[in-house]
Amino acid sequence: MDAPTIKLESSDGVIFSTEVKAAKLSETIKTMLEVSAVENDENAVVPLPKVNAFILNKILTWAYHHKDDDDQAAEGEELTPQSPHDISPWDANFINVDQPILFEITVAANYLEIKGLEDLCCKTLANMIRGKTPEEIRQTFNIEDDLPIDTAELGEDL
Amino acid sequence: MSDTKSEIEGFIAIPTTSGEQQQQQPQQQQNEQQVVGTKDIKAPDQVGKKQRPRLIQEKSTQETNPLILEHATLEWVPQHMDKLLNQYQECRKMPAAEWLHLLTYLVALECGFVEEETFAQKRHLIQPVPSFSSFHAQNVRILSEQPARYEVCFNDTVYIMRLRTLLDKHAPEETSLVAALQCRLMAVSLGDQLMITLSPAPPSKEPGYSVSLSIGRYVLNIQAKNKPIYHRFRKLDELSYQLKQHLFQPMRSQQLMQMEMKLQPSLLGLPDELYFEIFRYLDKSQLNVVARVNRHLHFYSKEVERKRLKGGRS
Repeated sequence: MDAPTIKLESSDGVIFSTEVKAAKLSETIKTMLEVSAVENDENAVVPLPKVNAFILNKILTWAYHHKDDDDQAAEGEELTPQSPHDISPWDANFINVDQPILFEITVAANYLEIKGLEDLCCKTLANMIRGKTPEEIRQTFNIEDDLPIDTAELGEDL
Repeated sequence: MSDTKSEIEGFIAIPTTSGEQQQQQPQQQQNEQQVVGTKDIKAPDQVGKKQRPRLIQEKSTQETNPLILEHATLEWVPQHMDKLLNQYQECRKMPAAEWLHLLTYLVALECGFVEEETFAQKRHLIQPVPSFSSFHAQNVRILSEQPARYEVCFNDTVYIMRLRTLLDKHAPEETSLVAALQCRLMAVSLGDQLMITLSPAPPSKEPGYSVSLSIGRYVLNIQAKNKPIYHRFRKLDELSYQLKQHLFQPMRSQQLMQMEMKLQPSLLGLPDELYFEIFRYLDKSQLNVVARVNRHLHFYSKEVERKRLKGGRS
């Protein structure tokens, strides 16, 4: 029997068909489905006005891969790496994207309330920060130094 | 002397001079060498592909039609790529450099740029593009249905195209703001290299951006019979990355800053709660480093420290 699917529409008009189970990793989508009672209507289209097609496609790829994580966790299977800073090989490959795309995925995951994906993005950004000097962080993220000289040296409260 | 290609109505054969005829032999020899080289290169690529299965194979279970050039394969190409290339079916003898220029234009479309004349004609169909994003699938498809308009100069070695950035407002009223959205894409063919430059339109004094690409790396010199033109293209993911990273993304960010609009999402423009999620993976010493980056990050890193002190976290 085919898994039930739902159609999601990106902000730029592209419609994606994905399994309901994958889509429900998003608390936002889950709430929309419950409120509108369209979960069982395969012709219904859920609009996502703040996520464009490219980013939504990326997110659904991640969601499809992780849609069974809860089931596996319930069966006692090890899903997450040992260290809270570590990222699984699949996720590492998935999140290996340009910086602008990484930020778009981060913002979209926040909007869609996909906890696991948001954690992945935040962890990745933290890893990009860790071990760098202030100047290296500025160069990495193209940030201008607008701190007073004494504050920049000491890191004191402004 | 320059030729302007505004409509593609078929391949136009240009009569050659006796001098050019004499030069054809060395070119043919060079092409033959390139063909041989290409054959030699194929084997390592094939081995590499077998040894390291690409993520795109897994994506095939999720999608069959890639959205952007980066994800194109020999079997599947984005609709906008197919639409644009279909207009050049009778121009298969076009120089490889020109094909590479067209691929560059496709990436420009994906990054929120549009050729100016096309924009003037199709603006009523084009949707606004939020400043926090650049890819708009419908816009890209609409624009790809129009032929690329560019000038060809200096014996077909220079290609020039006028571009502008799409924003959430179609047409700023002030002339200076319109100029801030404009730029010029120039590609110069130098041997096997294509030098591509993206420059802001005058009178802007902002910097331009450039990148040098190996033509043969991305466009093969051979065209198999009964095969679509895109079978000549290779390493489109790498090409897409190079163009976005070195040309279109920095130019778009620069233009947005000139317009005083919100930039693409960056470390400085995230929702408040995300800073706490990111910084919770950093220890106290790392937070102190972040606090010295700039005023914005100083505020959030200190907030995280205060929350930790209240909550007893370390």
